[in-house]
Amino acid sequence: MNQIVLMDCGSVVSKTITGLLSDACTLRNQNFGDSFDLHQTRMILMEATDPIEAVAAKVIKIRKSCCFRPIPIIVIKAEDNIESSEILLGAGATEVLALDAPPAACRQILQGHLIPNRKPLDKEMAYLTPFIENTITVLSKMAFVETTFREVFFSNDLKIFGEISGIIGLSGTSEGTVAITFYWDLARKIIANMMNVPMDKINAEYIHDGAGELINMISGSTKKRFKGTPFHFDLSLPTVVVGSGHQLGHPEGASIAVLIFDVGSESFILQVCLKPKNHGD
Amino acid sequence: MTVRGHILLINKNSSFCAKAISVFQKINYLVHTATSMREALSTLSKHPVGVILCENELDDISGYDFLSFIKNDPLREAIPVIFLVSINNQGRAFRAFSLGAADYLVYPLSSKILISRILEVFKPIAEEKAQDPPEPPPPIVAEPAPPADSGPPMQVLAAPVNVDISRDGVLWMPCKIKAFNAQSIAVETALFGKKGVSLIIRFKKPEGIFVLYGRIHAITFKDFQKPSDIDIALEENDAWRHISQWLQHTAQQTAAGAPPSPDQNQAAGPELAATVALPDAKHETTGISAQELQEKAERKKSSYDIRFYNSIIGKQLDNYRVISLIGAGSMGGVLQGWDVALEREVALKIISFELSSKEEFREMFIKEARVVSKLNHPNIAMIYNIGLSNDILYYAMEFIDGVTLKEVIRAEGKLNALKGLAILIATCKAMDEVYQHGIVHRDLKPANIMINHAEVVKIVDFGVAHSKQYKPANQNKMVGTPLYMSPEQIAGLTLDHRSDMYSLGATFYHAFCGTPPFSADEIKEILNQHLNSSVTPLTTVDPKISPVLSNVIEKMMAKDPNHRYQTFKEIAQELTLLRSRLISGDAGGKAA
Repeated sequence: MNQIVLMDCGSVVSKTITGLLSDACTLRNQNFGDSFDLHQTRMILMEATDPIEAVAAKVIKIRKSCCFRPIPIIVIKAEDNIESSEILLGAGATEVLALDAPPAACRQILQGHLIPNRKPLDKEMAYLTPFIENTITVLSKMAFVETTFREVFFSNDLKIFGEISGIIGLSGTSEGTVAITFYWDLARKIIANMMNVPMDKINAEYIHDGAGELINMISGSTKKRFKGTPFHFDLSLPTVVVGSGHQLGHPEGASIAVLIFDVGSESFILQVCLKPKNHGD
Repeated sequence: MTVRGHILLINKNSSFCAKAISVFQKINYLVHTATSMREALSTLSKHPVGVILCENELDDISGYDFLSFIKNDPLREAIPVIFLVSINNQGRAFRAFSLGAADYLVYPLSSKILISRILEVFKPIAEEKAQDPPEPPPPIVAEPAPPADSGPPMQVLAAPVNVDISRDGVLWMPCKIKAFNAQSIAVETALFGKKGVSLIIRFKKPEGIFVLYGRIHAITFKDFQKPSDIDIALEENDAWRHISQWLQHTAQQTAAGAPPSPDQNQAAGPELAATVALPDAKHETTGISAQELQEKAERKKSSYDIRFYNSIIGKQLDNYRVISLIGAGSMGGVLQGWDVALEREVALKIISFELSSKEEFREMFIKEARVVSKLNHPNIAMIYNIGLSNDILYYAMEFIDGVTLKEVIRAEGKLNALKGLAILIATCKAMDEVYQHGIVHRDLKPANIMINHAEVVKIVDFGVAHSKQYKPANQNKMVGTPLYMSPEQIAGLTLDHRSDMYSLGATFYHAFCGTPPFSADEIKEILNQHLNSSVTPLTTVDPKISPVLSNVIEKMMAKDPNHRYQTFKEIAQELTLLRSRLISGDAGGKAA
């Protein structure tokens, strides 16, 4: 049974959603700020009643509390407006629907978002496993943090929601991108450990070097494991990106594996998009 | 004392470290020590180290692994690494050299030899921002730009200019130029850096792509949720001179009150080459406002469809992984997929939300798949399967990795006779198969004829087709693409294969001479020309075109279906003959 959280939704929106979604969904009304069960929640629908900036701030918080899980956040607004929709999508909303939208369209769109992201096939795990192992090793050896791999799913959404990303381009026999994304608090802890600097001394330059270094180490150590395989790649220079909702360029048609790792109660992700050249997928 | 360079010594032997520090201090080299990779990397991030002296074992990793890491790090691979090992634990010199060590020394050894061997490989690195003291602590990190040496004052652009920015030329991020002067630009971007980091800026302009190279002069950011402001000092070269002049011109124009130049990606006017589904005459309202309202409604509907198709990208429908959106029309969307069971690429056609919500259209969608699946011809895209997953109706069909005839025309302007004839003959043969099954495609156009990488022609998109067995519920609507519609299609009459023949003639008229048979700013005017105007013969438009070919196309496009060819086979036969004559050089003096 899909559990759907209706956040800050008034009676009109609640009634509309109830009419749109099938019997296979359980709807639960709650207010922004109330806790929700991440494991059970399949979708969050929020009615935008506040000014757009305030709604965007709420979306950022909800997205953060999802700990990188691919939970769709759908914002329902009174009317369609491209400008405000862009703000909300940039903040982490998956979709922005208007109350005056055709119900059939809304139903289909919600239905599409309710389909779970696909899990990797065995052959995909074969190339993802070295990334998982090396991420855990690098974090353990370099930053002295115990990291647990939680789950992997595939996504074609190129947007990264987080606050700091280290990204590296891959080229050679395989091409693609690998990106590590953190929220600020965890990034600061890890980079402080890595650089052997107190957390309160971590400045922009440390963040730049640390995030670049991490993705470089993870990719560099994984690269060796692929020598002689179709997945072998060369590394470009690491790029560090700040802010949320930025998009990455990936090879056309390639799927992006999102690997979620936990460090205590916090999480970070490694996005791996690796596409062997002259390969069907 | 002026420091001549920085040396990183990774060694657990404290007495040896003390001696080495003293030796190098005398010749004005600063020695930093570390015992672990973590400490070493911390030092490397802070100081412009010119050589690393490393022993076999570090606290957290072996010396070989550390060496390998450094040599695989594009930022640090240039730093020479010397293995400096104790005589009691000499390790494996060959391995160190094979991993990229610059030298292999065993201590104890004399100060003179140590200095000479180390300075032999020492690579001085210019000191940059890395030596500055740490900035104030977060959460707000701000690194204000020093205005002193940033050159002349910046000229602010009224409308920021969108460009791409990259650290490595591989990964590009969006970036906005907000101001500029003769030596630098001020940009806003999510890409982060530090002073001295080199960046590449890419301008896409109508006259070509301009690439500028520069270094971060200053960076300011206040919030990890927002992009940073970066001042980039640019290398003086022709590209920058050109862009600088262009920025100057743009700024002056804006200051003079002229509107900013339109974005080259701005949406074009009415898409005459797009499939339209118009209501029949009795439902059509007149007046601009009604038309505008309809266009607006269509755009909105299309936006919901696109959102729906995007919502399933990355998901899996039965055995089909949805990869990306190929295109969307009024009837449905086509997405690229991957069959995980058979491990092959597929195209997934998904019914639009509007049609999906109506049972009659769902039924029609299934019937369409059944009709096309009966067509067994190498030049028609095959249907593999039809399915319903998560209440989403779809069918999987052959994925054609190639280009549409529309793209070929766009790239080549017009087709040469031999190539065009080969495509037209193949299309006619396929259309004969379609005709034999009593099916009318109703939307033949350059975008619906594909050529794969093996040069095999494929007819696609039977979404608006109808057959003797089934007539779509929208058959009374005028369906097709204005540039290629037959007169009887426009008039809303009963259609047969000869309507497709007209559309095919119009399609190849466009392909052979580079322009469609009729064109105008308004759709209505084009439709009127199809109904009432004679088409200009191909030989008149381009005298090099064979008169035989011109006549064939003209006959295919006769206003009265009875004056056209009556079967596609006839056209294929006539064109095959023409092609043979062209190959043998006997085409009445016309080669193309």
